[in-house]
Amino acid sequence: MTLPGPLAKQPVGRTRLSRATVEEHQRERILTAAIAVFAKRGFQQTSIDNIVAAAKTSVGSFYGLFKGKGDCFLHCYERIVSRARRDIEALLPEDAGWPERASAALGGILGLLEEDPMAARIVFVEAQTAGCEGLARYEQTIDSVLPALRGGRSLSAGGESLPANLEEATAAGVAWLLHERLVSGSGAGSRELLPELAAIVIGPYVGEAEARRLARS
Amino acid sequence: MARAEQPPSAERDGEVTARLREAIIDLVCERSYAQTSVVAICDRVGVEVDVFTRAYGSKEQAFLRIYSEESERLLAATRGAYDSEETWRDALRAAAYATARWIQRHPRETRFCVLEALSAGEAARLEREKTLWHFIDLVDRSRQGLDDPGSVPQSFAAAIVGAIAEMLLRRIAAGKDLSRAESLVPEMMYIAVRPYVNKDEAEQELSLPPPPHV
Repeated sequence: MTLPGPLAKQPVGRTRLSRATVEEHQRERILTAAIAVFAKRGFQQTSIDNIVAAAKTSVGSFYGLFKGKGDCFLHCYERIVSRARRDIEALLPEDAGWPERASAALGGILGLLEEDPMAARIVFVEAQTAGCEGLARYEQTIDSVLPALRGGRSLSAGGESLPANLEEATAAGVAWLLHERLVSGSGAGSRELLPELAAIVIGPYVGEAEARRLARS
Repeated sequence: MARAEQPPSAERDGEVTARLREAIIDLVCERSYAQTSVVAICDRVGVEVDVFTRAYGSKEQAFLRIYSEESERLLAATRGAYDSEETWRDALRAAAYATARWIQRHPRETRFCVLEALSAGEAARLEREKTLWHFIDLVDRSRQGLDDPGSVPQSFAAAIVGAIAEMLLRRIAAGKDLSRAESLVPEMMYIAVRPYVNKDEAEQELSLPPPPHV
């Protein structure tokens, strides 16, 4: 009997994955393992041997994909930040005003802390210990949210006369609170911080009472 | 009775330890903690490694001891300024200017403690956090000026201090000149008092002069 095309068996072992596909799978495996290792051991205490053991791969495979520990860390960082940006942007209500979007974004960040505390630790704890390049990426992440934060000024009477560094201080202060949350325990229960963070981020423009109301809603 | 004179070797040891200390701060700031070796430190001073080991033990112990000494000096200056004023706002402002002026006078030590401590191992990172918590405690005392101290959570003080530390870190990492650190104090004071006072009172901070005695 001849089976239709889709059901016809392929000879075992004859289906070959492309080199690019194999490399991508290896890269993902190493990055997933590396995130866990960096989060548990800290950047400084992590060696390439730790990473390849966790990824169940070889040092040769590691160096085929990354230049070294620092390069691997930066790839981990970029993967986490780009996925977080995508996930948070998907949460933002499209037709809502600035305060509602800011509250939703804060909720999204806290949700990520709860759901993936190891990834959050890479961004809010380990990046600052990962040398000049790690610190530079962290600073870029802080800088990237400043334009969105400045959107709150249009809601405040005299918004343009607020201190020039207010948004930088706000972003840095929130990042510090998240850092402390992660170093003192885990991300569990992080969402309970939302009213306080909303008061810090949104309060300067719309008042703390309104900011907390938005967070509760 | 006359005090016995210190043996010359003890004086020499003290002088060598001081020179090692300066070399450690210089090299860590030039190269980073990870890239600074005990051999390089000793070469800079012109001593053998066992001299370093007798003085400090290990590189990590050296870093932690120097960090502890410098942070204690900063905290002493800050607390002294804080305690010299009567109201919480004046006290906080005095502490802010004392901190800024210490940073201006000690840019190497500031870099050592604020930036390099992040990459000097877990113990150094924890010491850095403890230092920040001393500042958080000072800011959090602002709640005592409120009718309802419980209306502002401690996390606000933590966010304020964390923000200022991060902003200082960014400027150091970018190689910015710290000689005018006190020019940032009015804005930092606005941010620091805003959770505890109304908007008009916070805006006063943008134009208040430094305390004369700090």
